[in-house]
Amino acid sequence: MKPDEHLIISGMVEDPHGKPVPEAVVRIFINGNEYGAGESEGGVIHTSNQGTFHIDLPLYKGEVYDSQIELEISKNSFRKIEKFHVKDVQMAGKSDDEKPRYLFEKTFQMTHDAGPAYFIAAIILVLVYIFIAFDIIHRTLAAMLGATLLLFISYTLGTFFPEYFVLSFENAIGFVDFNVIFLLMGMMIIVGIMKETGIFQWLAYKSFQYSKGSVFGLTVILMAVTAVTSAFLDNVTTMLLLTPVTIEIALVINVSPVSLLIPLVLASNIGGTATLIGDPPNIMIGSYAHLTFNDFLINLTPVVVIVFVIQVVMMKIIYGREYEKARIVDLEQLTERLSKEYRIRDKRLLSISGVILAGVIALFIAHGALHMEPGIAAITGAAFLLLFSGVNIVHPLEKDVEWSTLIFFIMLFIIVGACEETGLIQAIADQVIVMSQGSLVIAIILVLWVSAITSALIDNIPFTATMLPVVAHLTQTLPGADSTILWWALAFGACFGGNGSLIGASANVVTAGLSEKAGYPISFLGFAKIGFPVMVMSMIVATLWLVFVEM
Amino acid sequence: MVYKHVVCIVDGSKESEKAETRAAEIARDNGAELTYLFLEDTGFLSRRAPLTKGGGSLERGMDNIGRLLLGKAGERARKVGIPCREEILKGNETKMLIEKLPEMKADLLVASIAHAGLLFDIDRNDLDTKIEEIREKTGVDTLLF
Repeated sequence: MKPDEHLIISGMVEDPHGKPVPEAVVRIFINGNEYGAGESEGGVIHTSNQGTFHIDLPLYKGEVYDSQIELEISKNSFRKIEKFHVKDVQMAGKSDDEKPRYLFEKTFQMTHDAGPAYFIAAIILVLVYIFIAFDIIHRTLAAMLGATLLLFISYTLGTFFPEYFVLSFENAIGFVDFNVIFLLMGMMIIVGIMKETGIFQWLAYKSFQYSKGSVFGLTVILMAVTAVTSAFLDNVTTMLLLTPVTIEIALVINVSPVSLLIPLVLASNIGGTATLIGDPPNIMIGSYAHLTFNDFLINLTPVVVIVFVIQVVMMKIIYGREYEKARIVDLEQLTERLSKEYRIRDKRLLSISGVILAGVIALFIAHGALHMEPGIAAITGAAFLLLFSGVNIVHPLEKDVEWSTLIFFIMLFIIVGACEETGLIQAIADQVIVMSQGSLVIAIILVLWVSAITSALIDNIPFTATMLPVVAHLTQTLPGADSTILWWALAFGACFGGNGSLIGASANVVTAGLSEKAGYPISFLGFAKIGFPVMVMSMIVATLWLVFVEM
Repeated sequence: MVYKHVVCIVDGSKESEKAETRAAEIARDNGAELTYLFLEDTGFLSRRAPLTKGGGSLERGMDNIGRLLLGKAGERARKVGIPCREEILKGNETKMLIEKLPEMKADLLVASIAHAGLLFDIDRNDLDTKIEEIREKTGVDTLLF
């Protein structure tokens, strides 16, 4: 057909929260007949990842005004926009072929439809949570089963019955946040190489040396070392390396190792809250909400410092008597033995890894200005460390990169993506808005405390992954929430919540396990008696900070 | 003489202290050999923290703890008036004992059962749940505290 004129139809498709709807199907009808000459699939056009579509419709003379041109927009899990009449077109000039060109532009809003796909996503999300919470199967396997089941159903049942199609493979991959994956992988390699130097155990020995025989002094210094280390490195690794040497010191000075280990692991969870890289929930929040390393430092670190100081006082009250029981037989001999046992084993490797870690942290600090995702900084640091240290790349990749965790993250992103795609997340967000009665203060308290209590009982990673889009919706829709305040509420809740119970954080379980192996089991209730009050204290400080300082 | 080789597992708990002393007394009364074992099983960490494999830092720390606890057990045996051997075994607790006890020609295993009281168990190879299996497969008598 040689057209006499062109009608350019441009549109944007969004959900009720103003979020673009990609992969929606746009069909054009001219006088009731479907227009068939467009993209590769006949007249069917798909919206882009930004939710936009653009159609150049060639028409015969007068058709723009004389014909009935209609649009139909559909997508699984959304209510179809039926036959929208294109009218009020504007004359826009001439096309390249010198034919008159008309223009029509509109933003369409699609509302979610709680169909079979919605319920499939909801059921799978709940099942994955149950499997993880009760440790029925490995958390990575639980997430992998959930993600693959969603895709499998989409490409089997969904092929024949579109209402069962949950999400496409392309969309699933799009939901995976590779900044988070690269950041975790890079830091795992850097820490894995660094720990070979013996720096962590050396720090514990130095803490003992500087405490000069005061057990409370030792506890405070060890807590500070643990908190600062955890702010930059993974909490589990920090506790894994510090626990054996702490138990050893405790056994030699005749105090219960538990009285040193619980303060340490609580400090580790508190310290991990301070920075973007301190705890996985912060990494996820930073990446999703595009918050910089400095944003975390400014908004979270002051609260962490206050909480840490109060925690020190609480530990003195709780364990003061136990510390007084210490019997240090020969301080000098013990210090000498520890200095031989826990020395820096590879000074060259420590220098190289120290410089590179400092460089990576500098890049984190500058990443806002450089527009460099933190994942790029971490993976670059890891690559250069491997190059300059001469460490065989196979070893850290085999031993230090926690592949099961990375796969866990990838699968979770897909599951949460499916929940977002089907409207489940939006439904949760809407419920939170209803519960908060439109008040930002109530919303902050809800996000903060619900996150903390949930994180005390289940893995905070899947919870944070689910909450990311929820908080994003709240931030967009709740009056006054357009700052970053709700993100900080989520970060405080998810990280501090780990102190609420023994199973609240992996670092707690690892520490308890090692302590048990040395004959000093830490019971669920025994931990909760100390950890839960510390969690409540930290949440009160965070609540006051957010409501009275940040708002 | 009923027993020729008494093996006692040392884990640092209060129950273990009782087990160590009783094992020494039984060995002395029977004129038997006495071996204290520290079992270094960090298998539970692979579920929670696969990073443990790197560097041997954890192993070194656990070795030190084991040596300390075995040293204390040795002092108890000396107080009872009997010499002892001390050994650290690394790997899965149950498998190690099933292999090692017949090799050592042990005929009595003394151990403590210290329950962590966790809501969810963190070590699915807990010795106390496997003790029956060890007794069946090795034929040694067991005495638990």
